[in-house]
Parts: sequence; structure tokens; C-alpha cells
Amino acid sequence: MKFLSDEWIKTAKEITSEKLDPEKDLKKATTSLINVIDNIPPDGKSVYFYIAVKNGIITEMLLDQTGSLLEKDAEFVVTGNYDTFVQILKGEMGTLIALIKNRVKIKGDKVKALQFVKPMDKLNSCLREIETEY
Amino acid sequence: MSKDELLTTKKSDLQEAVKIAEKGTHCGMCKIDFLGSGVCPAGKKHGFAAYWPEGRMEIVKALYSDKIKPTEELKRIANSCTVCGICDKQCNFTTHLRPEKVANALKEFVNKLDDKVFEKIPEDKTLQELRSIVGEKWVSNDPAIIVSYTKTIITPDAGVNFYVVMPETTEEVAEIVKYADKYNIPYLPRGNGTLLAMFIETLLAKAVSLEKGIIFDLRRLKKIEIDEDNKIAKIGVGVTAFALQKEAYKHGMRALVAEAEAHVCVNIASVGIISTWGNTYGWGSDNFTDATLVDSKGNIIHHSDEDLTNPYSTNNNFTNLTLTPSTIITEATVKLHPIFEDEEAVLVPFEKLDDALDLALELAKRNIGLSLAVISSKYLSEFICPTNDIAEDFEYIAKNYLKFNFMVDVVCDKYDKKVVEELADVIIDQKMMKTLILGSPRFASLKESEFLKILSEEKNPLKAIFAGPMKDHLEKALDPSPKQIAKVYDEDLQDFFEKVYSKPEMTDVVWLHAFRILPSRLMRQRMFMLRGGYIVADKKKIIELNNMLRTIGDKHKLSNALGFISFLENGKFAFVEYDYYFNHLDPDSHNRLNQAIVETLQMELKIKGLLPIEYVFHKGLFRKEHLFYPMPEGLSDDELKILGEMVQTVVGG
Repeated sequence: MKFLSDEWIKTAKEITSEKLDPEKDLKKATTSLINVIDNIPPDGKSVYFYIAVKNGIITEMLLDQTGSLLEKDAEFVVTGNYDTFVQILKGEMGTLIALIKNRVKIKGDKVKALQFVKPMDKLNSCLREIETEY
Repeated sequence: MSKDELLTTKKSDLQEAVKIAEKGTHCGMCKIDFLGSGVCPAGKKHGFAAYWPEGRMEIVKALYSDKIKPTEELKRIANSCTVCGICDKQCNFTTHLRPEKVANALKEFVNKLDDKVFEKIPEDKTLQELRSIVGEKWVSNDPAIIVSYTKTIITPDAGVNFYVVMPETTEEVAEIVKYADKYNIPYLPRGNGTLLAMFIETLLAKAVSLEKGIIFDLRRLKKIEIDEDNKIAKIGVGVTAFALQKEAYKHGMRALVAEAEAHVCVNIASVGIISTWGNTYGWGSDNFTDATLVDSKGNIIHHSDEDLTNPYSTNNNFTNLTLTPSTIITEATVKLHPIFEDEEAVLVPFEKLDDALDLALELAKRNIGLSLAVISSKYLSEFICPTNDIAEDFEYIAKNYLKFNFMVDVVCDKYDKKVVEELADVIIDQKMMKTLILGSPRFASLKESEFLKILSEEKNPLKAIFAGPMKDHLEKALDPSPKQIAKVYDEDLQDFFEKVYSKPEMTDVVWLHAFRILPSRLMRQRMFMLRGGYIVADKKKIIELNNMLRTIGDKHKLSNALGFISFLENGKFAFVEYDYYFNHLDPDSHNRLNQAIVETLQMELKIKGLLPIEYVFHKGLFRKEHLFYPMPEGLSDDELKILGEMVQTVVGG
């Protein structure tokens, strides 16, 4: 299914709820973040992908093209190019490497953000199981 | 015979060349005319790394390991070598290698192949687009061109899915970045690649290299404009330290530069310019007045833009760690400094680091010495000796017989010289340094000398040999002359090296400090990795750091030594470089080095008042004041745990 389509989001919610352990994988984290995915081909538009987690349980996964999700005041805003997010989701590049290589920018408390790198990598590994067409 | 069978048969001819190529360490010195021999004519004409000696070495390795197949471009590269021998002269001075044999073997190999084996690499849309920006000649996706950048921006296992582009102007850089951004193509800029060559040999390889996309080779932005009235120089990012210094000297001035082969703008943007001259000239933004950068959207930014938010601001938190640049620097306006007629280098030898630091800190606090550092006998011997073996024996004699482990190295005017002479027991002056440089082979040959063994039993052997009547005897015994030192080179190169060492600058210690042509000898057929960083200039702290780095190096069985300690801000801060040497061809050596890097970083981060070298990466554009005032506290256990996980993630890719 097409990356970031409604169907993909629906599957992502199901698979993460089914496969991620709130304690072991998501470290009982409570946070929210918006991934701002820029330069999506073919027309170069941006997409806002919002994820909220409470006590290690993903409570919200929302997608928007207008930027209205920015009003949700997420704890972190992660911005990067489409290709970078695809590389991360495909497991070709870790979140931290993307950060150190300046491929993604993070707004928010960076020390706290770094604590979420491992849970985020778990989330991405889980999303990798979806047969995705990029 | 099939194409592949044909290639396999011919490939065995490359075996000897591969042995030489493997020893290459990408010091990048072949791209500057530091001996007056000229540079590789093919490299100068065609630009891409593939046409330079270091690139040919990577090509030969790639052909031999089947990473690439012959292409039409490969044929052009191989046949562009005029067999002029310049590369042998330059490389032999620095690394003691003979790269012309590699170029010759490649040429012979290619010319023995049937025309049918050469592939033509198809064009694609990106190649066409890049060509429309920089011109057909200055962009390539040919595997022979791509592999020549192995180890200086791409890792050996990265494949050849890249483009190399050589823009000539800031506007071209901006256009390429806009294109790359629009089509989600990763990219990374590169100067001469020497620092990257060092890091790609370590666990940081994946974090510092490019995995696919566009390699910016920035050598063509070569503008140098000296403004004598304002004592500044406007330079393009392709200008090397050697080229800038040469131009500045013509105008009676000096620039703060890093090693000769390094690109000045790249140094400014990456680690700042770390130098013994920092005692007077400073670090980071102290040395440039304007910089031109291209941001990730292709916008051209000038540091002098009025609407720019403070471009000199940064912080020293560990979360600010970044290993690749967020912008591409294309130009800078750098400060130039006066040269005094009475400048002289004075070296004060010591047995103990403790004593060397006492003198150096005293001088730094009083702002004495244009250039000031404590350097180890390891550095001295590596720099001045023409081969690794001679350097090893030279260092043995210095340490074991003369009790000469460290020296305070000062470039000063006549007034400062008087102060140094008053404070020091023994000094090695310019004349004695000339003796040691030209007489280094003979000095090293005294390893088994009974005379030196007896001398070592003197109460103060340093004083006996450098300040007493023995001084004249030593000078006579070493018979220092260009002819003498030239004898250590291969017979066909001896005349050339006799002429090289006859040039006054080759034994002029001030010139050698300013032009920095000798440090690349640290990469003489082996690699090293630097540890340490900026630290508050407290003697106890510096010694503890030095001892900790030595203990970890020894634990991991790495040859190790202090490199140098330089000073900033009137002796308030010091930069400590400690080096781990390793065999880049030995995987076990790599593993031990990586363990030592992780362990030293963990230890360094606990030290209050230390800014490890990793924190300085890509901070050179910023004010040192934002990094040093205040210096960081040691990390808490929680922060160390996060950092430990970060390191693990980086190591794991």
C-alpha cells in the first residue's frame, strides 16, 4: 500500500497496537511528535504526521497536508526530506544517524528527544512490516 | 575468452600495484606544489580525484577486487598519466611511497585490454541536470571516477551509486543544492578529504560519509584576493592552506592555517583552525570576517547579512553533536597577520611534561610567543625524519639517551626570545634545528652509540649536548647537509631531494610552522586518530587527561603518544591532541582503535572543563566564547547513559 495513504495509516495503527509492547518497546513513554515530511514526490508537497504516545501506548496517529496539526503543540517537531524518512523506515538509516548527519532537524528538548530515539527505532521497525509502496 | 575471463587473466598484473595502493592513506599532499616540483598534470587538468595519484590508487584496488569494470572514462584516466614522476617525488617526501608504479600498472593494464571490454556509462536525468549547471566536463557518474573518492567521502562498501560534481561558483553550488533538495538526493561536500580519510577508518565511518547521492568536490572554487590595506584575503573553498599562505607571504603577511593540504574554508567551517599559532591568532570565528554559505534549501547566506540571526552562536551541550555540515561553505574572508623580521623558532627540551607545562603556561599567560605549544618528541621525530624507521630511532635516542620527551616550541620575536632564554635551562635554536633536520638520518644511526649511552648517564644530558661544548661536536658528527639526507631516498630521487633540502625554507623552522608541510608524515603508510580536545589550562587536568589517554591506548595495544598542546585566550584554555596510531590494513587494529575511541570518549565526558574533540566538529564558524565560557560540566550518569546509547546506535549504523 502507498506510504502515508489513509490505508497505510490505518494499518500502522493496527500493527503498532498489536506488536509494540508499551513497556519493553516504548519504555512507557508519554510524548507527542510531528514528523514534517518535506518534498514528497511528485509535486514536492509536505505532509504532517502526528503521533501521540501515552504510557507506552500509541493513542493518536494523524496525517494532514495543511499544517493544522502543528496547532496540536507536539513536544517534538522532526523535519526532514521524504527520502530521509523513507530511508529511516526502510531501516537504511537510523534516526540518530539522520540527526547527526543533519538529515532531520528536531525542535524540542534535545536531551529528552535522544531518550526517545530507541523507542522510535522500535516503532519504525514495526512500521517496516507493512508492505509499503514508496 | 569471455570479457570476465579476459579481465581475470589481465588483473594479476595489478597485484604489485595493489600492494602499494593499499598503503596509501589519502594525505592529499599530491594536490599541492609543496616541493617546487609542480603537481600531477593530469590531476591539474581534469580535477576529479580519479586523475590524481591518490585516486588512481583507489581505482587499482577497485579493479582488482571487481568493484568496478573497465569503462571508457577509465581508459581516459589511465592514459592521462604522462609518467612525469612528480607524484613519486611528492609522495616519497611525505609517505615514502612510489605511486607512479601504480599509475604505470593501471596504464599497462588498460592498454592490454580489448576495446570491447570498455563500457559506456549511460546518462540519466540527474547527470544531465547537473551538467546543465556546471558544464559537461565537471560532473560524472562513471564508476571509475566515483571509486576514486573511496575513503575520502564514501566508505569502501558504499557501491558506486553517486554523482561527483565540481562547481566553480557559489551560484552553481546553490543551484545543485536546490536540485538535490527538490528531488530528495542526499549530498555531501568535500575539501581535500584528509580528515574524512581519518574518520572513515573508524567506527564513525557511517556517520561522516555519504551513502548515495551527490559528492561535491569543491576544488574549483579557487579565488584568492589579497587586500593588503585591510589585511584580509577573500578565498574560495578550493584554496588550500599552502596556497593561501604562499600568497599571504608574497604580501609580507601570514594567515592562520591548518595542515598544508587542507582547504582553509573547509577548516573554518569544520573544526576551526587548530594551530600552535592560536596563542596569538585565536580559533574559530577569530580568524574570518565574513563567510558565504549555501543552506539546505539552496539559499546563499553571507555572515555579514544584516537580517541573519547571530551566525556565531552555538553551545557545547552534547546534544549539539553533529558529524556532517548543515551548510556548504563556498567562500570566506580571512584575517592576515603581520610577519616580523626578527621572528625565530626556539625549542626548549624537557624530560617531564610537568616541567614543559610550567614553562608553556607561564609564556601563554604572558602572551609570549606568536606560536606556542608543547610538542612531544614523537611529533618532532615524525615531522623532521624522512622515513618511519629513522623517526623511530631518532625518537628512541631522544627519549632514552637525551631524556628529551617533550619540548616547548615557541616562534617569537627578539624580545620574546630573551624572555624564553631567561626562563629556560637549555634551548635548541634555529641552527641546531637545521642540524637535526639535515642530520636526522645520522643522528638516528647513533642508536647503539657508546658515546650516547655514556652521555645519558650525565646529570643533565640535554644541557650537556645542547648547551655545552658537546654542541659543536654533535654538529660536526652529524655532518648535516642536503646531500647527506638525500642519501636515504631511492637513488633516482637523490638529486631531486638534495635540491629540495638545499632550499632555505626546508630547514627554516618558522616557515615550516607557517606552511605545515610536515604533519602529513603522521600518515606515512599507517593511520592515526586524534583524541583529546579543549580543556581549561590547568596543569593537573592536562596531565590527568594525557595519562588517561595513554593508559587506554596502552590497554588496547595501540601505539600512542601526545601530539601537541597549544594555548588560547592568554593561557586560559589549552588544546590537547593525543594520537593513537594504527595499521589501516589490519582489522584487529581497527577494532582495538574503535574500542579505545568509545572508552576515551566516555572518560573524557566525565571531566569537568573538557570539550572533547568530537564536540568541536562543525563548530569552527562559531565564536569560541560560546563554547568555552563556561566550559561544560562533566556529564551526569543519566546523560552518559543516553550518550552511550547514541554511540552504540552510531556504531551499529
